[in-house]
Formats: sequence, structure tokens, C-alpha cells
Amino acid sequence: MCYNMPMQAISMQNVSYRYAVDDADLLAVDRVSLSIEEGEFVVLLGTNGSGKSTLAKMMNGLLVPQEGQVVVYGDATSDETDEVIFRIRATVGMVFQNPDNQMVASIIEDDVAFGPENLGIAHDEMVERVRWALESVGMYEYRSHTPTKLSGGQKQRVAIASVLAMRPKVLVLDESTAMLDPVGRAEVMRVLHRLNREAGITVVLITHHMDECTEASRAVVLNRGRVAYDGKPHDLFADEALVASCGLELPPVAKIATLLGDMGLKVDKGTSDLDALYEQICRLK
Amino acid sequence: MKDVVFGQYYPTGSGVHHMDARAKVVLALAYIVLIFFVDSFVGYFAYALFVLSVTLVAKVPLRTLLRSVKGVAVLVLFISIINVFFSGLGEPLWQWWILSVSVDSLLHAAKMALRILLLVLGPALLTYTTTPMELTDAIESLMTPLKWVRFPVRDVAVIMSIALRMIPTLMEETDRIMLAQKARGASLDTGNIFKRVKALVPILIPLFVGAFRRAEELALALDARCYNASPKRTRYRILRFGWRDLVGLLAFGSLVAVVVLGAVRYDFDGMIYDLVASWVH
Repeated sequence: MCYNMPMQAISMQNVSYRYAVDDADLLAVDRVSLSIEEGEFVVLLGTNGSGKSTLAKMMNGLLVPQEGQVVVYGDATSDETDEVIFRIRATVGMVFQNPDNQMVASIIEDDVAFGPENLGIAHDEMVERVRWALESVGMYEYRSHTPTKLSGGQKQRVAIASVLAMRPKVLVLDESTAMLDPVGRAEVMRVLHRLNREAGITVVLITHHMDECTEASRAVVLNRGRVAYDGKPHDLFADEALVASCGLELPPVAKIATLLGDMGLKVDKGTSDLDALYEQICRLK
Repeated sequence: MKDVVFGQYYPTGSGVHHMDARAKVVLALAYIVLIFFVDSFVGYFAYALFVLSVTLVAKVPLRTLLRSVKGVAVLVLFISIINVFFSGLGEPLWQWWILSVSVDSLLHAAKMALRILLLVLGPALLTYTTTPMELTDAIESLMTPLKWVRFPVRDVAVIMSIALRMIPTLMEETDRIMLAQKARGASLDTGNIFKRVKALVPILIPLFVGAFRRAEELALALDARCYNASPKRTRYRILRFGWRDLVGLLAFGSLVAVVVLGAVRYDFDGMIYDLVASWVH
């Protein structure tokens, strides 16, 4: 294995997807080329209708692009053999928006075991996987509870564990933080960053909350089905005009940094961390 | 609110709770079938003794168990009255028009009442000691032979599991919709029965629409989690037939023996007849 060059996890080449809505064509994703390297933490930003959810669903073959192709660790999602499709889905685990609509069992550990059961994993290993998955999201002590009484953040962590139990290399979260309160969002973000750092899982987080990309290694902005930005989150925060044109909103700290920068003060406009901004302000003469 | 997911499950961690759910389901079925063959007091007493001892072993409070009878109390009363006055059995002690009462009809009515009560108590014990999830697993396991006739046992099991999982969620949603409709001035608990039923329509329609939307998302989630990936689906929960189940079977076996013997030796019932007759006269 080559250690110098990062391995390509998901590669999308000239991918387009259109929905036919009442005779009119809706081009949701328009010739997007994007490649995600192993170990990255990518935040995919965009407003409603920017095509970000469609793009996400193409990453594990739930949707197959009408043009272009998506390749996951060497497997094309257009491949129609069951073996390849299920290999892709187990490799790219997907967590959805509403935790209530993705749980199949009334007991948490049973729900987490659902994926491995489907894959035909042997019992001993399954028990091990369920334990590992629930421990990774800090929900192991709740294993014999029912999900109904959990908070939104806890439910979504269980949903992440349920996907983790399939031992995916990539985790795609399709607006999984949209329905959560700030506390729940913080819980989920913490878990995702730890998984990315410690278990080496590639994370693709789809959201419209810009503050969720402050710690990401890469930010991708989608606007009307096209990639409007692809790079460091820092540079995105510094470009207020672009952010506004994509219908997004700068997080408060970046907004203040931008305002200060616009006033001619020597402040890095791309600052999104409160302490970093504080330090810069203190250094101002 | 009571936890719907666990139904009326009463956790005590007893041996009965730890029995293989399949054994309990089979025993409950046998219990139900057998009771229709019982027509002697010996049999009913044996049945009552069986229920009582299982309740004690399961550490379920008797009062909790008897709560399950409440639902059929009216039915029991109704059937008893019908049987006392209309059975036309034996020598009438009292007669008026087509109504008559005799010692036989009294005893017959008592037997019918006992039969219904015991019929309810057995399955109630099953649900007090077994979670709906365990029941689902047991039913799936017991249906396994149907795979030979290409019956989709696994799919049915997943459907049952999801249905069970969705009950609390949909109930929550119903509450929410009701509040929303009330906020818009809907009156749900006034007016006659027709008006009330009509008022349910604006609750049911959004509930159904919501359920279908959920189903769509759930279908995606099932796909994303490789549903149907492997023809050899493995199981997380393994049901094991153990010594507890053997004890249960033996206990039930002795019940069967007593019932059969009781049917052969009718003396006991004769004694009761004499007792009641002397008391009535």
C-alpha cells in the first residue's frame, strides 16, 4: 500500500442527475466532479434544492447518476450485480435526517445489529461489532433501552452506530444534524470528529449550517447543482460574497471577523474560532 | 405515558421471564387448545393452580394479573347469566316462562365463567413475562418451516419488528396532529358520536400521509443498511431452549395429566354437585 498518496475513497466524474417533475425536468446535480480521499472530513454545504442530498444519495448507489459515474473504492455504483451494490453500501454507510425513520427495531442493540445481520456476519463478531459501534458513539449503556425516550442527539448517535456496525470506511450524513438542537448537534459533531481522527473513517457531512465545517479538513459548497467552492473552510469563511451568493450564512465569529476586516483592521477574515479571533483582537494596535 | 413498546410486560427477571419465548408461545397455544377439552371442576382447579403457580414463580403480583380480567368481566357476567337461565339442564328449582334455574345450570354457568377467565389469564401471563420483541422473534423462529413453501419468513419478521417500532412514533405524531387541529379550533371531544367520528378525519389523513412519507425514508434506510444483502441472514438474538423450558413443559405436562385423569374420575364433580344441591335445598 502506498502511504504517501492518499487513497481515493469516492470519485465522481461529471455526474448529473435530473428529476422529472410534472413534465418539467429538474436538474438537481449538474456535471459535478468531486473526489473524496480516504481520511478526509468533508462538509458539503448548500441550501435547500442545491442538490446536496441528491449528491449524497449517489455516493452509495441509492441513486445512480444519469450521466457520469461514481466510483467507490474501485466499484462503480452503476454496476448492477448485487455483490457490488451491497459492497458499496456497506463501505459507504449513510445516516439520514430523521432518526425516527431509520430505526427498525424497538431495542437499541437490535437496531444496531440489523446491518450486520443483513450482511450475514457470524454471531460472535456481530456481538463484538455492536459493542464497538455503540461504544464509539457513547451509547453502550443504553443498549437495552428503547429509542423512543432518547433525545434527538442520542437517537442520531444510535443511527450512526447502526451504520458503523457494518464497518464502513466512509460515513455519509445526509442532513443528519438538521433536526437537532444545538446540544444534540454538538454531541453528533464530537462523535464524528472522533471517529474521523481515531478510527480513520472518512466523513462526508451534508448540512446547511456553516459552523459545522469549522473543524473540517475540507468544505464543498454546492449551488444549483454545481460546485461553487471546494477548498479549506478558512478560505470559504473569508469570502463573504461567495457565501452570500450561495444562500448560506457565515457563523457569528466569522461574520465578526469579516466585519472587522472590512473596517480595515488587521484581522484574518477567515477566522471561525472564537479564541483565535480574541487573540487577534488583543494583538491589534 | 406507559411505554407502549413493552406492552404490559412486567419485568421481574424471574425464571419464567428467562424462558425461551418459543417455548412460552407453544405452551400458551397448547394451554388455549386444552382448555376447550376441560369440562370438569378438577380440570379447572388444576388449571387455576397452574396459573397461580406460574404467577408465583414469575413474581408477577396477583393483582396485576387479575387486571387483565377486567376487560372480559362484562362478557363473563353476561355468559354466566345466559347459562344460568337458558341452559335448560337438569331438574328445575325455579321456573318462569322460558327461564329456569337448576343445580346443573348453576354449575354449568360456573364452568363457563371459569373457562373464559382462565382463557384470558394464560395468554396474559405470556405477555406479562415476554416482551413483544421476544414474541416477534419467537413467532419468526416458529414460522421457519414455512420457508420450505417459499413463505417470506424473514420479511414478515422485519415487518412485525418495524410495526412494533413505529407504534410509539405514530402515537406521538397523532398527539401532535390532534394538538395542531385543536389549535385551529377543531373540537374533538364534543358533540354526538357521529360528529366525533367525523372530527377524526382531519387527524387520520395527515397521519396516513406522514406514515407513507416515513415509509419512503425507511425504505431508503433499509437499502442503505444492506437489507437482503446476504441470503444467509444471521441473527443477533439467539433463542436457546434450556432447563427452564423443560421445567415449563413438565409443569404443563402434569397439568394435562390432571385434566385427563379428572375427566376420567368424575367423582369430584359429583361431590360438588351434592354440595351445591344440599346448599340450595
